[in-house]
Amino acid sequence: MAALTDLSDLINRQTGGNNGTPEFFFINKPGRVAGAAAATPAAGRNISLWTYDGTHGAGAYGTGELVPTNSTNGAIPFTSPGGSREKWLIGVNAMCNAAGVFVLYDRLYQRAGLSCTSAADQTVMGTTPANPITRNTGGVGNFIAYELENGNTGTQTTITATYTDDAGNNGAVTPTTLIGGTGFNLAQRIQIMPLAAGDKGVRAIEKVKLTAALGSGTFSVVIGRPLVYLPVSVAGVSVVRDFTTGFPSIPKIDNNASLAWFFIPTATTIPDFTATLSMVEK
Amino acid sequence: MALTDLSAFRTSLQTGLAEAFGGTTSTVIGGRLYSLYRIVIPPGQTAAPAIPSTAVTLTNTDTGALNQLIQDFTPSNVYAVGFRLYSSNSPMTYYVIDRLSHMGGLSGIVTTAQTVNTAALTRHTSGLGVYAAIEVYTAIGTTVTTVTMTYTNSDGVGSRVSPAITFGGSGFGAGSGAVSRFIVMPLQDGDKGVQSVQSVTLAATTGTAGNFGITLFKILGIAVAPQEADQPVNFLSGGVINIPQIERTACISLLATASTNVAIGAYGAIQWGVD
Repeated sequence: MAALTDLSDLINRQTGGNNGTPEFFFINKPGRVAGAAAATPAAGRNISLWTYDGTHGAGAYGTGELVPTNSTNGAIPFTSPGGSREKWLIGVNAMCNAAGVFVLYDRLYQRAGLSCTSAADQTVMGTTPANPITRNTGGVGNFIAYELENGNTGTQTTITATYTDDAGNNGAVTPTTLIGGTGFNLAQRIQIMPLAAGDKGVRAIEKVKLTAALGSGTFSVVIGRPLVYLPVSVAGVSVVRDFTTGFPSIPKIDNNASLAWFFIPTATTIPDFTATLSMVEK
Repeated sequence: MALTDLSAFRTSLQTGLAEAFGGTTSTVIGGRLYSLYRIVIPPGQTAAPAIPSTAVTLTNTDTGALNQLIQDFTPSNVYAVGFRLYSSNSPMTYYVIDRLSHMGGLSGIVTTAQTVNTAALTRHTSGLGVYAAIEVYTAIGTTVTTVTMTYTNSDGVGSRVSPAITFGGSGFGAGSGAVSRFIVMPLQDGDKGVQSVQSVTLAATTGTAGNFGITLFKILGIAVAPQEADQPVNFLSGGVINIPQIERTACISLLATASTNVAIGAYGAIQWGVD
């Protein structure tokens, strides 16, 4: 591992010198899913852009388990570095028709097709995962989220996840999190679940359980690792994060990372989102 | 080759060639993407490029290209290193693109497949990172519908069909803010770019024929003007620290978004550096 040395090193690599392999990505997510308008978000409630149409295709929930990579539909298809080089995200820009915060994260794992109408334990990865996460495997900084594959009905209830924490302890249980009902019942809704006291991350999700059954709906559970918080303070005004001069310092992108977005809206506007990412290797 | 260090970059900023542009838009819709191809005019030109009809590829000799003064520095490479902006009325985001090909003459009232058949790419020929957009030349109708396209992806696979996207109505090609509206077409799952577009199909009529076309483009860089003031920015610190290489025959053009519904005066210059 070798950090970028200085601005000269950065400029040289950014213009293709010294195996810098610069990559510049344009992202456009026009607020639609499978050719129809996406669900209208609730203010302050996170929505996933994983299945949004647009550049690089739309991600899918599919069935069962998936360990997404940079070649998965919906992920930003950057090229993993060759040799012993590493990938660095040096700048991000975003513009949206709605104000809010965009979060770029590495989507490490998903299990699809879990039922909102079951109050029984639903296995996710089990105690011995057959498809463990392959990046940030120590778990520190990873989050658990549920993601609604479609709208659900019924009386609001709560959900817990049993997981393996960042210290490798099995059987950790999250505090309860709301699911169903206003703000928690729309398609594309992604809700991060709090961890048990003292835990700093997640290695695996063993199972999930609703306290009571909802009337309908299915959901996925996701392990992710946030990389960039990108606040768009004013609708239509572009924001730039230059990681060479601002906090946080230049994020490293793991080989094969599945870079995806979720959005924390300030209003009930479906986001029409345009962004660019700039990367170099060293 | 590449710019070797900070000193070389500074030299490019201090001595590189700058090409100016200027123009005023009609009222645009805030937060929506627009093409400035027929709005900002490079030096030496006195009129906007004509509305295209047949499918053609574009180069640096095109009337609307913003890089007409760059000499042939072969074997050295040319980079966009600086950008000077003045945007009256609104904070702006500018996208620097290589406008690869375009065509026009499509109708907002035809509901059968309309032939596009874009010209074969002469740059970025694999299509990787190349996108297609609907470019509105004259307003279509106010009835909101959707549009899809058939295309060949960057792996050379044909008969791909894009997801449907909104077309017609306010903000999507009708009424105020219709002209130069640039609607990027989403791609079928798994696709990473476009080699060519064969046709577009409207799900229903928008009510007015208007005139729109398909443009193939590749985004190279970005410059942000957060205030309505004259702002020099460089692509190291003001453009997502991307210093794009400019191919010798590229047709450099701009896309832009404003924050509000206004007519924009867009004036500035792009500065080129050589390694």
